[in-house]
Amino acid sequence: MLDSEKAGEPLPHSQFLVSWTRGLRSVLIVAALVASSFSTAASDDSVAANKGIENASRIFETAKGRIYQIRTLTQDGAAENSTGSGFLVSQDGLIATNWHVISSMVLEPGTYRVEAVRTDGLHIPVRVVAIDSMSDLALLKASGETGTPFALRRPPLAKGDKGFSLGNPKGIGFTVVEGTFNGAEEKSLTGHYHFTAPINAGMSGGPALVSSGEVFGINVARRSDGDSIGFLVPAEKLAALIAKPGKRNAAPDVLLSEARQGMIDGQEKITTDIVGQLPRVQQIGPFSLPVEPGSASRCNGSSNREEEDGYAMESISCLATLPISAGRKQLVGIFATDYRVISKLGLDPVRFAARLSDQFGSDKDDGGDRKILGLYECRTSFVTLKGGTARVSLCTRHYRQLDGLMDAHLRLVTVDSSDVGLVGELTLRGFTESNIKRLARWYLESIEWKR
Amino acid sequence: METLAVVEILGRNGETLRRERLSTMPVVIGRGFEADLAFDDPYLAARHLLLDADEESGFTLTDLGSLNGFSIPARGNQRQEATVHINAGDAIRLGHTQIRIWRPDSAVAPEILDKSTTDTRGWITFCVWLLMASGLMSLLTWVDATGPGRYGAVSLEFLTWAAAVLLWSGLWWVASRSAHRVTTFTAHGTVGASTLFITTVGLFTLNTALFVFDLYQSNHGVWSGIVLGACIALGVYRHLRLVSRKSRQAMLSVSLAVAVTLIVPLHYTLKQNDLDKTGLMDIPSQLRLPWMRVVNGISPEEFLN
Repeated sequence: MLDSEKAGEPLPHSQFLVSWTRGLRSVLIVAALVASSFSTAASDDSVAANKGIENASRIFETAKGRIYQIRTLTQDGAAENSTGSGFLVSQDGLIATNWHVISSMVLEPGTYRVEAVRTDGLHIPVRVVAIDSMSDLALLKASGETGTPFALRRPPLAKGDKGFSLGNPKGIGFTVVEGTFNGAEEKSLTGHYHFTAPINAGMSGGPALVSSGEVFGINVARRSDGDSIGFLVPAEKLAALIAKPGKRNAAPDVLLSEARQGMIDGQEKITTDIVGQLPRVQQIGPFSLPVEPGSASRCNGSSNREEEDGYAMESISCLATLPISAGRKQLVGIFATDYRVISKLGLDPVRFAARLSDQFGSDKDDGGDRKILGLYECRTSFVTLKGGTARVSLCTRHYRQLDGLMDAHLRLVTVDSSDVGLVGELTLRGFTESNIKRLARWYLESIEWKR
Repeated sequence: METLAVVEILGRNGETLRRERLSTMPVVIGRGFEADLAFDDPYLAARHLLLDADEESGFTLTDLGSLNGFSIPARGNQRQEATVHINAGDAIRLGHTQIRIWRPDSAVAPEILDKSTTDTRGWITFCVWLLMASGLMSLLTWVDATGPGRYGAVSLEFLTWAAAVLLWSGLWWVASRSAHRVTTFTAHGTVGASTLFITTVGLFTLNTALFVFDLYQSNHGVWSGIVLGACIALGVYRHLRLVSRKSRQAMLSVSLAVAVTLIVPLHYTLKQNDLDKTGLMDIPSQLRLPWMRVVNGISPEEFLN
């Protein structure tokens, strides 16, 4: 889901987080709202233009009674929170979908309920019975619903194999789209399949089938900056979740702790990946900065240099994520760094100090829903880095429902130099306190100042 | 009946309580009913003083053998003996009573031409203050701003502050009209612009002093708050003095001034944490004066634990 961020394009620095939030939202929109560029209903003639018409229409016919629109509604049914798709995976009414489609119901029990809408328009109440939030999967139980479940495909696909994605973009109807399997996503912690197809908002949780009708993946995300770059959760992960022993009538607190566990595992995976290996070092001015941390991070390409009003700024931002929905458009499992090296061109020391100070910014809260997030608490001190001193501020806030998970925002600005300075930011979403400390320490100790 | 003299009976603070017209001369002033002008004052004799007009425009006063006599405050507090000449408009103290005696053709004060709405001198003062205050704010912007956009920023700053002072003065002017004491726009404008000027200079001086004595980091917020509060309170007090007539309004001005003086530093004290994080960072080496402390950082490990 992280990939909505433009990887090759530098972001304006001050907008890094804002732009992130926007980027993340556009991805969550895959589940939550409708982006309606995809309007081809399966029965439409436009599909006929496609070479795979016979396959596609046959696939849709066979899938018809076994795919659902999954809707999260307020308890009184007055307002719709999110919609996605789902499909039948057991004879006794087990429906698979994405965790992010139903996350608000689990995270705010009592506020929302979930229902499935069949292709014939019938609304069926469903319960959430199992969650794997790290893989973005959930199982729903619709009592009384029977049918032939989709079979999960075990043998791996080859790059270039055809596949069909099914789902229901809200308000448009059930659709089928043809695409190409392109292997596992590279440089990613999620382990998603890369599936080249126009997967759209509301199709999250729908199945991706091979022509024989077996499910090889579950629609999960798309790149908002690319054309038809879609992502699927591999079917093996769903098989594992179905096979997982345990009750099928989970209580709200059990579900919540399952969801939380996935997030804990996810942030542990990111942390281990980043702390476990030496980052590549990029030299900007007198600073050696760690970039491309871990195995799955992306940076904004090269550093870019801006000159204005007597000072020059070079910046680089990097991102490593394993995003998991934490409800209310909030994602956890995000690690982001941002460096800005500011050097004096014609400014006098007073003005340079003022510019540097401006770049450091303030502790203004960067949004976040008060219902799920506490307020930031900060501490500030002068910290000795390799080669110099910096003023460092670390702010953290808790997730109300998700015990032990926190957001952290660390900022630093180098001091005691009048002609060059570094402003650094480390943003963590949904990490445990101990991992925040590990990553913050890794961050502070990786920066080196050579004079 | 022809009025021969007017006697003003004065209050404790010299204000006029009432006026008596006298149509006969001489008159006896005292405590008894036989006196022409009787006061309920136990320090007076029944027949205390004889008041008569003299040949010129004044009066003569003659003590009629009272216990306490009388005095003329303008000539000191000593008791006046026998017959004394006074001028019209002089105050006399007898017992605990004060009176002032006028000729009927005199006036309370000379009539003067009202120039308050046409006087241009007020405008000159006002414009000078406005230019100084807005110019100072623009200068500070010029010092802070960099690059080609600087001149635009400076002009905007100038216009902003000029407009703010005009608006502020206008509000006070309207307030003063509704308070039945018409003060001029320029009077309020002068107070407004000079307050802005004084506040800015005060804060600038304070910050410079704090910087030089290496106290900028720790005490900057609190001291700024106190100076700012005091300057604003002074400004409000000066405005209120222009519009107030009664002690009630003076009380209001004082309480307002005190409140503002206390609230602003309190606010800044509470904001101190924020200022710590957002203010100027450590002082760069080139700006550091010889006696300034060098910040020693802690290790990342210490910071995180």
